[in-house]
Amino acid sequence: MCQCRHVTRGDAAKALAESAFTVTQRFTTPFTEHAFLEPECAVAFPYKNGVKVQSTDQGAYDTRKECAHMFGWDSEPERVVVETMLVGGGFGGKEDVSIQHLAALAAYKLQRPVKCKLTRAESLAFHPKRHAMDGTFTLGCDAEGNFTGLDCEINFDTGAYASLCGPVLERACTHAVGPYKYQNTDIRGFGYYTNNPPAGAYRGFVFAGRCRGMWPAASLYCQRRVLHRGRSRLRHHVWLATDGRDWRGRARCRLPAARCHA
Amino acid sequence: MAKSIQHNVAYAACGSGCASAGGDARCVGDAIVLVVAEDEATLEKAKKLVKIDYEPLEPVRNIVEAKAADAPHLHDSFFAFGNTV
Repeated sequence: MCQCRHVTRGDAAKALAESAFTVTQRFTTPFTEHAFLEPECAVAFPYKNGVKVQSTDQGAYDTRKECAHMFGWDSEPERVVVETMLVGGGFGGKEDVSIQHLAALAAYKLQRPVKCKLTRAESLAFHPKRHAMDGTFTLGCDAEGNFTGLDCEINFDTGAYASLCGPVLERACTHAVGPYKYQNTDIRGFGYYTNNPPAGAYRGFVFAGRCRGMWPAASLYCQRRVLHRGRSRLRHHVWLATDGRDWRGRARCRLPAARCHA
Repeated sequence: MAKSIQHNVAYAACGSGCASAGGDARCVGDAIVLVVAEDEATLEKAKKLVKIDYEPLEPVRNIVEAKAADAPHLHDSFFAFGNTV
C-alpha cells in the first residue's frame, strides 16, 4: 500500500442504522489520460557548478528538488536551475519529472547541452494518469428525504510510483460526501501500488474528487427515489444551506447546488 | 552542439523510478539505460545496439491483486526523500 486516509465526523454507523432508507452502491472509474497537446521535452546544459534545465513541466521547484536529489545535492539545490518554458498543456500530467532529470544528468556528466524529448507513445506509456478508483458508498436518509450519514471506502490504483497519491486520495475522501447537508461520515481511502503507469494529478484535485463524490451521492439519491415515491430532483433542503456547515463543520463551499439535478 | 537523448523508459515521480542495472523495473517506462547521441539518426542506430536481459516477473495488475496477502512489495518505503519533506 502506498497511502491511506481515514476521515470521520459524527457517528456514521449509528446514523445509518437509524436511517429510514439506505442504499449501497459500488462505483469504479478507469485510469484517465490528460491528452495534453505536446509531449514532454527538456533541454539541459552546464551552468555554473551545476546544471540548468529548460523544460515543459508544471513545477519548476519540484523539478529542481528532484534533480538535485538525483545528483545527491539535497543540501545545495541551487546548483540546479529550472526554467519553465511553454508547457504545451499539462493538466497535472506534467507535474512530475519525466525527462528533466535525464537531460540534466547527461548534460552535467558530458558538460554539453542535451535535449531529451518523448514521442507521443512514450509519453502516453508512463506519464501519470488519474487514478483508477473503486469505491463503495452507503448513504442513508430519513423519512423526509434528509441525508443522515455516509459510509464509504475508496480504493486507488496508484500505479508503480507514489506521485500525488496522498493528496489526491485525501481530496477524494474529503469530497466523497458531495455538497450535501449531513454530519455523519466514515470514509476510508486506500492507495495501492501496482505495475500500471503511475497515477497522479489530473486537472486539479478537488474537481476530480468532487465529481467522484457528487455523482455517487446523487445516483444513490436517485435509487432511493426510484425505490420509493419519487421526486424529480434532489430537494433543495438536502444541499448545504446558506448558513449551513459542511461535513467538516466548515462553512459551505460555493457551488451551484440548487441547479444540479439528480 | 545539441544532443538528443532517447529513452524508451524513464520515470521519476518523487525522485524515484530509475531501475538500476540488476534492479526490478516497476512499470513500462522505468529508466534502465540512457543513450546519448549527436543527432536523432545516430540515436536510433545506437538504441538498436542496446540489449536488455529481462527476467519476467508476475505483475500486479489491479487493486484486487495489490490487496492479496502475497502481493509483492513494489517499494520498501514511500519516503522518496527519506524522512524529510
